[in-house]
Amino acid sequence: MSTQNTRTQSSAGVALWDEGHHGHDVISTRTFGFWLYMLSDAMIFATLFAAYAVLASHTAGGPAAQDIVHPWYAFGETVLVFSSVLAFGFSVTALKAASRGGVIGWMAVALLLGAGFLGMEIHEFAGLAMQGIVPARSAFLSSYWVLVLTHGLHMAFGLIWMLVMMYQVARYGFSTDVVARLLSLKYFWFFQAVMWVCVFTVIYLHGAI
Amino acid sequence: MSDSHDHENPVQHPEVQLASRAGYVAGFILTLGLMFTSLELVTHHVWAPFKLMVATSAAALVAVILQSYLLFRLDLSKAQRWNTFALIIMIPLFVLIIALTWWMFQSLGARTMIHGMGM
Repeated sequence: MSTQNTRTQSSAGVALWDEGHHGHDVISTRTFGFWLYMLSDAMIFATLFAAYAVLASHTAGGPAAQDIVHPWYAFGETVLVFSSVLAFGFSVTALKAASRGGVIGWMAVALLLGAGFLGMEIHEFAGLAMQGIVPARSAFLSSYWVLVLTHGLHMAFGLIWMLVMMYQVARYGFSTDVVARLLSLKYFWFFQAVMWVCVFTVIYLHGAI
Repeated sequence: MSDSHDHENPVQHPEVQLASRAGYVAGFILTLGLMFTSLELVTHHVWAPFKLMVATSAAALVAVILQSYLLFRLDLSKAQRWNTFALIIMIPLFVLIIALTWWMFQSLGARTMIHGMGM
């Protein structure tokens, strides 16, 4: 959007007011809107952490956190999430260099690492389900499953979004729309690493203490 | 949000130009190091439980601050100041939701012995 500076003038030629439409930068307006959405998404996690804090001790005679969490396994997931975020960061630096191949290539690496994380999480929860450690067993397990898998659901959505963006970069190049979406996806993906720090610490570390 | 004028080439946009390979690598190493340190402390039961909880929570807080600065590149620059401001005013809400909910149910449990109902 270009900035217009149309001014209404009096007969004496004095500017009375500025009628021009001072449009915002399209990319910044979109990414700021998405940033506000991400902050509201963080509030969903706040409610889930609050529920977990309240219900962590309500095991109804079933397994407690200490019985089911495996901090070293979760650290492996941490390495994958952080590595995926790093690869996505390299994709953004490739965007800075206007390298289409760099953006798509590093995003593919981020996607594979993110898929690795999801694979580990699915393996973890499938193992729990096989042992009958399911949400219906206790209030603690309900909050545990919902909190961890809400993060996993975000990860899965991010992977789908990456596939879409890889196609759009290849098809349309670095148009304003594509760049705005890439920056929004950057916020989304980096946000998953922030939330994982909280999940890893509260669920897997505090759970093992 | 950045300045209000548009950019002919989207790649030259200030938010794109914020990207920093060194910053991302530093963020990766430092946050992973913090998480690994927390893991070592917990698995070796270095301290009493309460002290471990405090230490690992502090490490997580430092990790989140590092991610905000090194990954999101949040600072008071013209391009980022509104994002930074929005995050700062969201943090008290995030903490209050968790702390007040926890406190409310702790208080409820103490007054009604609901914790003995075996939820």
